[in-house]
Amino acid sequence: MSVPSFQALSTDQVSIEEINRRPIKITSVLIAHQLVLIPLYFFLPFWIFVFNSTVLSLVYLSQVKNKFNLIKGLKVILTLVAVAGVFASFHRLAGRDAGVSLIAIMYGLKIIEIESKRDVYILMLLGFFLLLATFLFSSSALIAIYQFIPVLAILYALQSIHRIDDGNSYRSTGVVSNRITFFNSSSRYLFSQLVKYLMLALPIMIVLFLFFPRLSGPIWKMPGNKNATSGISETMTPGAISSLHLSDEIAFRAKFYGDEPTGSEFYWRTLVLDTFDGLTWTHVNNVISDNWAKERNSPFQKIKTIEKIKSNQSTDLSTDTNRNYRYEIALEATQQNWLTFLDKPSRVISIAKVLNDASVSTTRKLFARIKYRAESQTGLSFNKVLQSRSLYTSLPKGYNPRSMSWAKKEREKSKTDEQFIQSILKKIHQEEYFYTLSPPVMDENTVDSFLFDEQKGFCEHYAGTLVFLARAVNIPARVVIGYQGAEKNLLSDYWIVRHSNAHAWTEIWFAGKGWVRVDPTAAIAKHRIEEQLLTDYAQRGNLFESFEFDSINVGDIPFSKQFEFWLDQLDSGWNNWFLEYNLILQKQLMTSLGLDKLSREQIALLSLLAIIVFMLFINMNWRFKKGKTSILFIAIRLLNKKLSKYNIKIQSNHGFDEFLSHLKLGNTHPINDSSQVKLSQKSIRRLETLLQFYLSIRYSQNNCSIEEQKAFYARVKKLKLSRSAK
Amino acid sequence: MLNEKLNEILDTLSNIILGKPEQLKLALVCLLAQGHLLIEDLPGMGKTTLAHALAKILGLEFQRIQFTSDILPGDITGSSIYKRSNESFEFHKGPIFTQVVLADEINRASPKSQSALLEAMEEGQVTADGNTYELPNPFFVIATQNSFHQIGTYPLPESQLDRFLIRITLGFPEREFERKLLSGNDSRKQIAQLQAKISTDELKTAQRNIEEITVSEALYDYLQDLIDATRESNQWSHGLSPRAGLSVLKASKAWAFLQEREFVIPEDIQAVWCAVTEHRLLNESMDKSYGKGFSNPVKNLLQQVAIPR
Repeated sequence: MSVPSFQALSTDQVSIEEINRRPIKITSVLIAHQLVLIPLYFFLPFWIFVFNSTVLSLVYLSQVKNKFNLIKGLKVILTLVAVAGVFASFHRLAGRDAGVSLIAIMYGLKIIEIESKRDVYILMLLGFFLLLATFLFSSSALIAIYQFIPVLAILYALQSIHRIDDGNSYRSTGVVSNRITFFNSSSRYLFSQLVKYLMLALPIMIVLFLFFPRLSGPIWKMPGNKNATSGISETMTPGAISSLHLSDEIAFRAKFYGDEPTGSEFYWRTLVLDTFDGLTWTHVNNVISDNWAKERNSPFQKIKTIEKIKSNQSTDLSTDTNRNYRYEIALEATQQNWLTFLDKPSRVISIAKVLNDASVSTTRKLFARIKYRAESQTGLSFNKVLQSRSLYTSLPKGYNPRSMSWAKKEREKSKTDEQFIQSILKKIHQEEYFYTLSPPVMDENTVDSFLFDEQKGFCEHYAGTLVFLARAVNIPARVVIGYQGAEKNLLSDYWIVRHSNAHAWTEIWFAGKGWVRVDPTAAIAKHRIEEQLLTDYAQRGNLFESFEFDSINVGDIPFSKQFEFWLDQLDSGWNNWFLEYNLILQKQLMTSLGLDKLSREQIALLSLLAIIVFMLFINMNWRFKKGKTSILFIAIRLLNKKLSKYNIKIQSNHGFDEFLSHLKLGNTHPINDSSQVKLSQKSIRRLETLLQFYLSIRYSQNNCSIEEQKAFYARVKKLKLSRSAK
Repeated sequence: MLNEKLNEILDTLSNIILGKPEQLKLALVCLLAQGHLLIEDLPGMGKTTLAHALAKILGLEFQRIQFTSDILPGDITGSSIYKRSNESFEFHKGPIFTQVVLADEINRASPKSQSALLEAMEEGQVTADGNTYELPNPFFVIATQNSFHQIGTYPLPESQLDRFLIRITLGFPEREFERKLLSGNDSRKQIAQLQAKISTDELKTAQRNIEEITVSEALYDYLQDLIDATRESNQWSHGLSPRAGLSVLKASKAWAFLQEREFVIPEDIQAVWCAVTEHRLLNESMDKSYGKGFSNPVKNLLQQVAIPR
């Protein structure tokens, strides 16, 4: 009785027509329908949810509760309202948001039209399509996992309208169809069958996922809707921004192999701003570094080739901080060309181009998540000789005269460049300089205005000012944009860097030392930092040296934080294992399996073959489980085949004795009596002796031997049937 | 020889109970399988006539106990009465000490009296005042029962229904048979004229032969599939008990014997299935659907469970 109902259901009980006439179990269909729509509501205007819910309640009341009938004209009105609503929201009907909104609302309306089974099929199959539409907005792991629920619901709905053992079956309750009958034993049975079939489909899914030929990139790209405001931008205009909103979105995740950096080492360098026009800092220098070379025997040979800096490391600032970090960064799409590294990289991927200011850019903008490995050494000087000195000392004429003269006066007081920079930092630390994310708007001479009047600002103001002051006295200096700090996912071993970690600092050229990182923002006294910022961005605590930042252990993290970590871990794993599985990784897998010599077509063919073999195997397994004595079973199958030519059927619940008596009456096929072929008397006699033989070997003794089974098979094989002469 | 006689008995009976050949056959099967028979029907459907005729034609000693609400256990099994002559109590055997007992309208008696009968049925003996009295052999109880919803009845509990091997319902006769009934002879007179067609020894031989009928593994498979189906289904509060399974087997052996076959085939099980299991698988809708042609879940099971080939 492993799979009884399908085998046991004899068609004499219910005809196909009768099944089609049965009322549709609409409740499970409606539930599946809504489950499909739910994730979309997070990305679409709220009114669509309200609209669809109204439609649902209308349909529920009219179809399920039979409270009233929907008039035909309503459909037209609702459709027009829906289209108008979408147009009003987006001012167009095409594009991702408007398009998906239109589809979602039309899909929501579709339930009005359910009249026959065919409508349900269409509705449910469209459901599968809509499940994919959600991925246009997000490929988050939670959504992907959620999508299994509507998939199950759709399959359940399809199965429940397909089942033929409805009504008076011993498995069903015989409850009137529209009532919700969740998890009575018949639903449970249906569900367990469903799960069983899905488990069988699982290996097929895995094979297809692993081996189905992949494209090197996505087939199409959706224009992203990432706000340009979050994260870092390629220019910096300190005076113009009066309020900086930092988003909590993730910029990238980093995983270290071996040593992990500590506290003040978390300066993630992204790009260098070298030119100031009086208001805005921009990046101009695109000279490719000449001390980079390809390295042949890199450890990551199959994926990426690694380049290494050929620099004289003996000129480093201090030897004790000269530590080497190996890490991997999973950078979210930035829409820019810049890659981020921990300070200055010593090894990067070969497809990137390394500029001589130690920033790294790619040839194409990063529209998708990218993952790369790199190495960094702290205190790496990178350039031995200062190139393009004039670029790093030039300032626009006529701007910020007060700062200019102040800088010159201050430089005269100091013996060296370093002392000069130190004195500026001291000024920032000791005088009333504040760190705030909502600084006042500065006037045209932004540096003057900030340095002498307002004295309030965030990292951009401080970095810009320091570089300006350095350049004013002909010290080469530049602004560096990147991220500062990182938050470790305490449940795992990687670090999370968010857009709120975005930071700007400076690099100053000191003769004999090279480019040295100087972060003026860190010089601000702790008590002059907005308290709100300290609590909000606790992970940046290291920035302000005197700020006490207790190390926390997992036990102390509040539950919400743990959940956040867990969620991020899930997303990161999802990215690593599924979304990142691309052409390259597939090739890698093929190579490790020794399949790399096959063409795509051959691999597709092979995986198809594997699936077919698997399905055949399952099929055979089931068949033989059913027919416990396999030879007899095959013989009966052969007999059935022979009889089917005459449109005669042995019902699965009829014994052969009963079948014979039916046969003699000329009535064995209750569905379609007219197509019944009358067998000749001779044939009937032959059948009778054959089946009597079967009965005797099967029932007159404890068990029938293999020889008897073979004998029966031979007799079935020899059996010749003919029509009655009439 | 034996079979011929049995078929003759069936023929004779069907002249008295018109249009109910299947029920008659089942009644005989019940007797041959050494079980007890429960006839459940409305009053006046011929329950008593059937019981009476069956006893008479088999040449068995017959007693009838009319169950009423005030019947006492002693009225059934007998009671000890003080006898002055030898100054001691003497056990007077009750009406149950006979070969065929017709327990009429068993569900009108109090549960206490019902269980007195049913205990005797189960154990084949009666114990009174510390003495045990064997019941005769063969001992066959035909109990009749009114439908549940009749006023003034104590429905037999499920555990006691299980004691009856077969339950049959006679049902209304078809039009042509009812006409015959109306126009024909008085059935009481016919019964009075009946002659025994079979001896007690022959009956015992038949019962022994039935026990030796072959049951193959394939048939056990089918029977177990059916029993499993009752247990998996939610139409009944619980599935069939192992005792019920044994009962189906016993009855189908007897059925096979009546078909003059030395082994049981699935059709035998199908033939006795409803009569053996229906009263053990009760649900609420059953008595309401009496005679209204409602779909019968026990019968549907036969259509849904495939015969293992």
